Amino acid sequence: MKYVPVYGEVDSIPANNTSIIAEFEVPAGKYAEVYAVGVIPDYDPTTGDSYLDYVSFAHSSVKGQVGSIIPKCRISANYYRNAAPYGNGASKQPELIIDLPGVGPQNSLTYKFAPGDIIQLVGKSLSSDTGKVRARFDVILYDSDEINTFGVTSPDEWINLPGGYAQKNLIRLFDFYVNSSSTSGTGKWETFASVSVQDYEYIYIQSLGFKPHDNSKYFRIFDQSSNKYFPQLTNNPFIVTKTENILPFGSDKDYQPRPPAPPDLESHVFNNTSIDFEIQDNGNSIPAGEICLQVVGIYTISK
Amino acid sequence: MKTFIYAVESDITAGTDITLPKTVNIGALSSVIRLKNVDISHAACGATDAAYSSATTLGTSHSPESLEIVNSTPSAGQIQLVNSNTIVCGDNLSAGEVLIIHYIESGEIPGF
Repeated sequence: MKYVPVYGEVDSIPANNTSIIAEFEVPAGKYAEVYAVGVIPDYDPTTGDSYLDYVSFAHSSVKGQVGSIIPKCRISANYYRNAAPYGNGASKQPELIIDLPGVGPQNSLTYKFAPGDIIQLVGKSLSSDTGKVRARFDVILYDSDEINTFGVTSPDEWINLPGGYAQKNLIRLFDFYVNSSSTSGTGKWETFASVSVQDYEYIYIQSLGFKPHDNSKYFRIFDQSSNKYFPQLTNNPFIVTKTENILPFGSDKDYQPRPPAPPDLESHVFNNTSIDFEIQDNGNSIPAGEICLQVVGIYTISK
Repeated sequence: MKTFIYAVESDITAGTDITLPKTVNIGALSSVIRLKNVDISHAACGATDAAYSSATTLGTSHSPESLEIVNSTPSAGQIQLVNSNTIVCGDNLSAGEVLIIHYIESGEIPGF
């Protein structure tokens, strides 16, 4: 077993484009799992601009060529909403832990890659070119005789373990939602994003981070098929004002990590439904693109 | 983000290193404002007082000018960060002028 830290940087990612920030080729005969990631987004101290949108993991067979993005892996990484803090001395939060490594039978959702695979961390830009983006991720390599503890013996079985890119039965869910249009400024509930969940898909939400705006007031989640609002136990929505936000985003600048979802939400299974993310402003409009929700959970499929 | 105010005590020629105190540890410049010396003068007039019969400088005031931050040798109107506590200005600075330096301290933000 060997620990390998991987670092990479790009001077710029062209507007509306995807580039590899860091990559690593799994040596022949070794089995890799990626358990943590940290990003230093682009930031211009003169203008305050940052144009990195998110990062995803991918697996490829050719170095330098963006391969297949791992499903449901979209980690918000803009300077103002970075869900994957770098975890250095200037960060207020540690690196983003994808899952605990090496726990074998307990279904760890670390991303798993086969011998010879190229692990890539790719960044996606917004509507302008980014500045310099730096990132690192943490890999553990196993020898072929060491993966027995996971109950597997071949590369094919390894990438079909939970978290392996060849399967969708059990994967880590990272996704984020930004309001694409401004709110009405009336202090009423409005849906700023919806997720359609098919009858063969199951989603568990484990953690939520909300980037507030001066005019954001309350946030809640609505499950259309079961007709339930979350948080449900208290019947009170999440307070997401700028000063009293109880769902810190957990970025490099937040003094608190992203909190776990309340028990009623964490134990709820979203299936064959539409998940609505609802916001209430304080009577003044929230401009488009100003609030962001990072969701961390588990995605499974039964097909 | 921090601010350091640098008072020019004696004339500084353009292109000369300006060393700031060691406690100023700049990771990146955010904005630099130069308070430029401008003369307050009284134009020549027909006053009988001999002092005002020709143009007279009464004193000095400051006029703000935003300097452009560059990564190479600065020209007029520009400023460059050389290392964490040294800057170079592309203009001659006169005694009595002031630089208001707005900066990210080294290690304050990841990447700087």
